[in-house]
Amino acid sequence: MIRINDLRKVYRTDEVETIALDNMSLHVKEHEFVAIMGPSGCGKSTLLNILGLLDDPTSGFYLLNGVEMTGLNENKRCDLRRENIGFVFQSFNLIEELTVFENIELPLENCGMKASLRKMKVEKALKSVLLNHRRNYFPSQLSGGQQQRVAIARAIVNDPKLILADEPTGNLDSQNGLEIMDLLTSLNDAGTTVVMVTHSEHDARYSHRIVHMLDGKPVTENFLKELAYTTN
Amino acid sequence: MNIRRSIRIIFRSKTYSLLNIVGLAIGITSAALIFLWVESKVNFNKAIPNSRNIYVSAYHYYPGSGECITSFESNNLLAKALDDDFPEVKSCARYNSETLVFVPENTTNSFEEKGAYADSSLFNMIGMEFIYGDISYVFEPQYSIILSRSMARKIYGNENPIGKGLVNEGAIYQVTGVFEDMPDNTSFQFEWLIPFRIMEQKVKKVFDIGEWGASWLHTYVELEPGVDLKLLNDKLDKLSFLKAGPTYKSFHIFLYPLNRMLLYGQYKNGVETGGGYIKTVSLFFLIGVLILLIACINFMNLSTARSQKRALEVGVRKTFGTKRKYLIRQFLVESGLITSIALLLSVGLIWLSLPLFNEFIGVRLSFSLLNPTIVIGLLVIGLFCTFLAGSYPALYLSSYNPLATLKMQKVSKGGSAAWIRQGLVVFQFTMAFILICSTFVIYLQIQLIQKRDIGIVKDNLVSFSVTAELYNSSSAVLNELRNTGVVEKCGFSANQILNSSMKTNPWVWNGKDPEDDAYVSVNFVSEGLIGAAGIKLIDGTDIDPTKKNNKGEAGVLINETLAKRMGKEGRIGGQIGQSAERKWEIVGIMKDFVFDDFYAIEPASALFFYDPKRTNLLFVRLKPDIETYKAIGQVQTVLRSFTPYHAFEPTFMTDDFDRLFENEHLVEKLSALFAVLAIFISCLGLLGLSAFSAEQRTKEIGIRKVLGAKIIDILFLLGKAYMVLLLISFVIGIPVSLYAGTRYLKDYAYRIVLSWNIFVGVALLITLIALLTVSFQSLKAAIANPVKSIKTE
Repeated sequence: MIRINDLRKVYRTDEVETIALDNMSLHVKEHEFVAIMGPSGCGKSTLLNILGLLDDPTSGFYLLNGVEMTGLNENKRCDLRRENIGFVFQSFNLIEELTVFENIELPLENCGMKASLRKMKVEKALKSVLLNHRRNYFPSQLSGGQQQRVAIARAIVNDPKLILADEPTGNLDSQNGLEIMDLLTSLNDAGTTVVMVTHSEHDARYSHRIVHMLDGKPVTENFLKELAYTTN
Repeated sequence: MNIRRSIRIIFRSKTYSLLNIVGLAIGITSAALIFLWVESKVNFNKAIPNSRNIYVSAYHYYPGSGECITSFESNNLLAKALDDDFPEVKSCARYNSETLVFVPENTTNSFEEKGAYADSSLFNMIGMEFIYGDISYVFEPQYSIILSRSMARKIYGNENPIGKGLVNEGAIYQVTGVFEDMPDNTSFQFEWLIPFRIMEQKVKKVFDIGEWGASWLHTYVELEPGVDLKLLNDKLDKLSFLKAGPTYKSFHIFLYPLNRMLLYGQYKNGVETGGGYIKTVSLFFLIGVLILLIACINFMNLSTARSQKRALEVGVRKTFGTKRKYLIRQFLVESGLITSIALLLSVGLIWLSLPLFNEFIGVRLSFSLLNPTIVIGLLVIGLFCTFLAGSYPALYLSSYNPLATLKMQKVSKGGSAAWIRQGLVVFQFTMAFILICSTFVIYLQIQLIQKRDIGIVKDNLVSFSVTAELYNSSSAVLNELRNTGVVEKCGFSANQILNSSMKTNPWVWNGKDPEDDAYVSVNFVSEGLIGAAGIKLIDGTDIDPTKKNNKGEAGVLINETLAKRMGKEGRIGGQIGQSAERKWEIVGIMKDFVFDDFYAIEPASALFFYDPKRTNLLFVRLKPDIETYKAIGQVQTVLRSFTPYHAFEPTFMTDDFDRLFENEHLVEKLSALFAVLAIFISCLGLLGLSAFSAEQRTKEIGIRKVLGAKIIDILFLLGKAYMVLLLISFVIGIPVSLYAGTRYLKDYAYRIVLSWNIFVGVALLITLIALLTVSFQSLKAAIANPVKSIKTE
């Protein structure tokens, strides 16, 4: 599903050059759940941004489903993001002015989808995060755990093949954190590939494989479970 | 596109949306009022169905020396000549307006109404519609009169007035027709029409109306469609030469399009100045657009200033695959919504304010949503605001990098947006500064003219229209008036004292410079007139009809300017006349008084004859210590003892004088009004911006206070940024205002000197207003508890 080779990302300001990713290579198989860990500033988030097509590497290759992703223009990347990738953030990033329903509907807008189909998809996503009864609430009226569930519903509403989660439980208490991790696991079980950045050992243990990063490259890998055999 | 959602977003941030909407609504209302006024001026006379083909006869007169004089009057012979010899001419109508008093037969009521003497060809030319009367017959009876619907109703109620009699100056006019009221916005404002031949009879008594050079009326000419005006005017010039002969070589008649009259009909030295009303109209059109622009700038500034709030949304949308063009569209929809709300609000505001506006500038504008021009105009304004106000925020906000916004970086700090925002604030305040400076310059110039000592005392001076009974026994009338005890001085005059330009043929005197065109303004007066007007004598005496010389003449009065011009002959006992054989003796020299051109530094030459029978007006100076209305009542009683049942409505000289500066007053009022609105709208924007920056700097302010900064330090800190912007505005605004002021004053010989006081004063005024606006928000931030503000985040 994801194959990156010799990926470098260098940030330059007037005087300082910061290497965020240093010849990083990584391979994520379809249906895999990968957790990425490491200290602050090790390049985890940069990696996730590049995987999510929000950022371009300085050099190297990134193949998503066998297609080269580097050097695409913004419009093309927009389309690819909408069609393939769902995002979950630590700070939820829900829009205050929109209802739960509307927040989830966001990724379906402006792509020529009929309103009835959109409604169906949003309802399906709402159901899968068990928030059907909160559809007309505003984010501020929900608990943190509920907000993150809305964010997950938004991430899956378009049936993406890949979910990128950036410390999804970072702002939650342990009980709510558990629920979110269960949700991600069940999504993965249903066939969605998940790449998750986390600081939490506990959360990381939900994955198939933990990649530890330091100074812009992976240092160790822990295989926790076998990836279940799939026909494709 | 989800409009409901956009509305929710707009109403989430109430303060900003309110500032935006109110600012825009006031801007749109102001602009709409200006545009309504501009439209009425641009479409002046266009309500007349055939106005495109109607022309007014005018002439250039080239005196021997000096500048060419252009007048939109014509002689009594032209209409017939055009009708006879010019196939291009469809019809001609002679026309002279006048205000007359009518008394319905067998009643004692009197009605003073504006009307005109005209040829019956006018009816079809200007598309008059008759309610009563046969258009081909109405002017058949010698003394016939037709009335407007309003005047007929005023006098006769709902009765059919055909065949009734109206008395004026002893003649009984038979009502033969009633026409539909004329549209407001045209040159043809009359409540009654009387056949022009009556006017001819009246004028014939005074001078030879068979003279080609005697211009005292208006001739309106309707041409066949498609006539080449230039060719026709050449032909007309030749005709003029043939008819008048070499004596009038310097006299060129031409036709001028009726539709151009109001806006362009101003000539200087024989050439259209391009000035005229079009200058005022264009200027205010520009001011309307500027005010819209200022209101739109508020919108842009407030939207980009609070962009931080929208940044997250942009980031999330982009992350989940929304393309930029859809974001641009969404922001435009939001600005369209805000504009629509503002537009709706301003429709209400226009409705409410139009009567006040009409009253304020003395016009009759109407506003109706059934008028397609107005609806289209409002839509254009709406689109203009939507795109102008919305495009910059749309482009700016949609350009955010999603990564940066999701990380909650300070996206709006510094960068190009802040620069543009500051630039726009500078633009707003520069415009406000220029507008206010211009208003002051205009105000001071008008004050200067109005306070000018014109050599005529305007206070307590009242005039009345004169009837034949009065001027036929002028001395007796004057005596009786003096005996009332309420009248200080009084006298008859043919012309208004303030504009007394009766054009006559050249004058002669001994030792006249042959280069001198000998053009002199003439007036016919009775004894006592100069006393009543407050004109002083520097030599000799007033005309005294009881002291006639051996030729049986009472002599003439000249003014200082004419005395100087006449050289040695300009003395008491000197002589002036129209030929060597026909001369009058000078009995008095008047101190110069200003008339006709109030901006001239030196007044024109004036010559006063004794001839009460040619007079039209009675001037009465009331004693200052007596109640005006009582005094006027007594004067009217005396006058009615000569002509019973006549209204004798008084006209106050101070009003007459003010009326001379109507256009100046209009410009003054409009510019004052819109300068105030411009600064108000700008300050609304400033209020929003200062709220935003105070909010952004809450933490900084908190830290500073913890470290010992006082409230005044904080105020200074927050105000400093705006002071710099204001200073830049003034630096740009001063040269522009100086240039505009100089250009404006150039047209006036008698004018104020532009001084620094004006600019410095206005700059201080704006600074004060702006700082008050800013400190309102800053104070809130400055007195906030620092412990609280540091904790936010």
